[in-house]
Amino acid sequence: MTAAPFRLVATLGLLALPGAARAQRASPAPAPDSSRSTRTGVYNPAQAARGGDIYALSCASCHQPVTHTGPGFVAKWDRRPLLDLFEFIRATMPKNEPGTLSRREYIQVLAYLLKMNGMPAGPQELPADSAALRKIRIEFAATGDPSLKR
Amino acid sequence: MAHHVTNPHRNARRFPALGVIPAFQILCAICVICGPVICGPELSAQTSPAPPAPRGGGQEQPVVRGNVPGEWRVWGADLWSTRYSPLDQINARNFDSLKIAWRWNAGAFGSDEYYRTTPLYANGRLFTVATTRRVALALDPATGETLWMWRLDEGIRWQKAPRQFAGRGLAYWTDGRAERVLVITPGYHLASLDAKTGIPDPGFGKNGVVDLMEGLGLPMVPLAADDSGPLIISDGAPARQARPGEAWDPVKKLGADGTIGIDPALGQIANSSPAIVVNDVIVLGNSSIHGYYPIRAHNLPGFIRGFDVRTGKQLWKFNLVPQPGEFGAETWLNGTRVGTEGVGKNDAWALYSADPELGLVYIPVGMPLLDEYGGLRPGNNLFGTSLVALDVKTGQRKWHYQFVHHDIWDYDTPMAPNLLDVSVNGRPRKIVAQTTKQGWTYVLDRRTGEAIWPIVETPVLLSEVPGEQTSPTQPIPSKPAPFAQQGLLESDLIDYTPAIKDSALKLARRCRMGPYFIPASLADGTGKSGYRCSWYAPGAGGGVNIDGGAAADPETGMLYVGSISGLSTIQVQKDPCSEFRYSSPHDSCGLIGALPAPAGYQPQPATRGSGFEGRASFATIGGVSILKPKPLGGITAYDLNSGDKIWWTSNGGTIPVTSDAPIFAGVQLPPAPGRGMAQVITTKTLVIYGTGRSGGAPDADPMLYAVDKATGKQVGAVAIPSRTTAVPITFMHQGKQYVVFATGVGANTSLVALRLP
Repeated sequence: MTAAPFRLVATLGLLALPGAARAQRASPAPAPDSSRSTRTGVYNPAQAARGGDIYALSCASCHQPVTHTGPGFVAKWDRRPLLDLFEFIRATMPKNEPGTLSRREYIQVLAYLLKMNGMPAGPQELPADSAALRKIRIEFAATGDPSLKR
Repeated sequence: MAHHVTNPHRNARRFPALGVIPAFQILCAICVICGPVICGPELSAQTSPAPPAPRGGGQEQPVVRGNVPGEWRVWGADLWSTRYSPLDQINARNFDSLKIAWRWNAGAFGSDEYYRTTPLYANGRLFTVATTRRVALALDPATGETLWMWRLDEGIRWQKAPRQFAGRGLAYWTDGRAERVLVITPGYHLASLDAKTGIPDPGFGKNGVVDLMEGLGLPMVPLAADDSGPLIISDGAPARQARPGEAWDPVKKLGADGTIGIDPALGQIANSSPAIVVNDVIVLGNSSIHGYYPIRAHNLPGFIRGFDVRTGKQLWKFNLVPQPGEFGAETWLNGTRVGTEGVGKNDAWALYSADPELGLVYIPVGMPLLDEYGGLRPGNNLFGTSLVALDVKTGQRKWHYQFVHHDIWDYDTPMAPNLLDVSVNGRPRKIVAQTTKQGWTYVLDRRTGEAIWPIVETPVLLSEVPGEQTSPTQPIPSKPAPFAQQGLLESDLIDYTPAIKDSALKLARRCRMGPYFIPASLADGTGKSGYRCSWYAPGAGGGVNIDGGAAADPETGMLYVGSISGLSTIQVQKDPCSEFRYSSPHDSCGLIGALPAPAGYQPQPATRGSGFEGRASFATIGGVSILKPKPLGGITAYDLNSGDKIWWTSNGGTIPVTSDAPIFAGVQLPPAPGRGMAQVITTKTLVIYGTGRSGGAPDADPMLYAVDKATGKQVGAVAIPSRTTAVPITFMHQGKQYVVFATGVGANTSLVALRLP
């Protein structure tokens, strides 16, 4: 695994070039090296708590939590920019009324999904703008982490 | 002592290998859960003196449609499911000054999913259920004090219950002297409790409890569990038949605990809605495990049964999957025997309505197995996605109306139909109006099942999925107009600029389009037309669904429908570890109960362990829906004398739409019509509603709203602690009108009572 080097880069990611933010999204290609990892505390606990409420009321009646923590989820989203996951959820969920949460609410749900996957919280809020989300790379725990087994 | 724990199904006589489970062990479970540390004030209330003497006490009270006006004795207020109260103490002038009278902490009794219960008010008491154990309780309506509680320890039957939550409520019955509260537990028992004390009626069933798994003619076996979790959303991780002598590990909650139940090899059965009591007959049905992406190609079907309200004796049974020789069996070309491939569900999991004068009970029936693929069940599949009228004394079918033939859209009939007496073209009509997930209201003569306004069998798109034989026509009502988006046509797309129109059309054309009932496409694009997805509107969630539904005004013939409207996509593919040839994209491999992975199996990252989102396609551009905003979803008012739409309002506010996508630069985007399922009731002058668990304007504080029922104009709004999670009730108690509703999720569930200062 290359988690450690990515973590080093993550700090540098805060100094990402402004031009990178305007670059066309190239999903599902890996995020640029200037990104920081979701393992570095990219959301705060209050956001995740609000996201948990929304998740319970708008998501949980169709989804088992394993839907968002299991190997399929990891395989699909690992190493991709957080913006991809945000756009995916915003465009497709809630299943019957896609796009009907506010941007802020989608961000809160996103923070909760990170928390569900054992990503640590930090002092800063998860940013809502696309440029910042593109610079955050989804990174799950190393293989063998029991939280990833279903 | 007012709570009682019995388990007649865990005894030595029926499962000798395990010996007798001492009664104290079972009682102990409840001591732990409801000891003073956790329950605190609620527990002390159990030993409180009786509440203020209920009015009545054997005195005759006027009963209208099975309810005393000003009370709320049935889930839908009365047997007609009107959700109507003639009260007017709370009105447009004073709605905003409503205050919280009390808040009752359901979470003190245990955790839940979202709290989906609508309580009852009868003869001076409030009755509710709560928690994943479906504890039954009585409260003092003036203070919220707990008067009594009752629950059942159901062993593995609870541990593997497909509907492990508080459920939608309970039923009440009185003959003017005796009063009973009827609760169906998660493990599928029916209990009859004395409404005054919570003590099970010793004259009902066995010690007050009827085992609903009995009486279906299905084999009962000792059960065992291989994991401690509940049955998951598909039929993964089920219970199984116990091996002889198999022991129980109480710490890990594995093995055989002495519980007896229907052989899990046949499928799962549960219940989430209360019974309805009509002319001294308890009528109830069942729900099955969800049909989203099951592993097994069979499940238990739906049954409707009648029971004597005094004795619990089963009076009759009606098969919602007709058995060989019964009416409708010919609509299943591959047969209908329980346990055979393709057979299952048609479960009537919603609330029911009844006309006690006609002696008919109206059963809204869900769809057959599975949700998006019917290749194993060719035919129209009666009584799937139908309304069935049964004689309450005999259980004989009086008439039925099928809304969707051979349903592959998950269009379960999701809510009690509303009964009204109206005048159509000058002719008095007794009608039943069924609001549905598919966005239509089907209005029928409730004596005969005849359509009030023509419902036309209309040609629809045919499926391209191998093995799937969809119906060439579906019944489309000519009136009333739908309350939710129907399919997707070019004229539905946003067209603010030519570039936007082009983009929307390009996106839309990636999936199969049509006016309604668009069948799912093959996710790999190998269907005749090459589509990988189909547009899905209304989706599986409605239209109307169990959270919403309609209130009906018996004075005016108006119908107020709370629904959603949206646009999503649908596709099917092979789940490698399911018996089905196709389902919505899913990979069951590795789940308990799944088939072994086939040779050469390669996990597909897009679907493995995932659910609905597997291959969903975008319905938005830069966060903006490709669908033009329309007055759909929210609350739609119809005059059922004429069939006309009278007014529409959003569910607690529209949604501002902005986008930083360049294509929308300089375009003033109109707001979206709203979201979530309004939970409506109606009074003398108002429609009162909560926004439901996912409704209301984004980032807005939770509110309870009132609109003028004649115009739809908002006349009041009060802040509430959190969004409503079930339909509210209103009633008069000791001279004060109350509005009470459930709210919350997990351990933060409560009932909230509002009244004027």
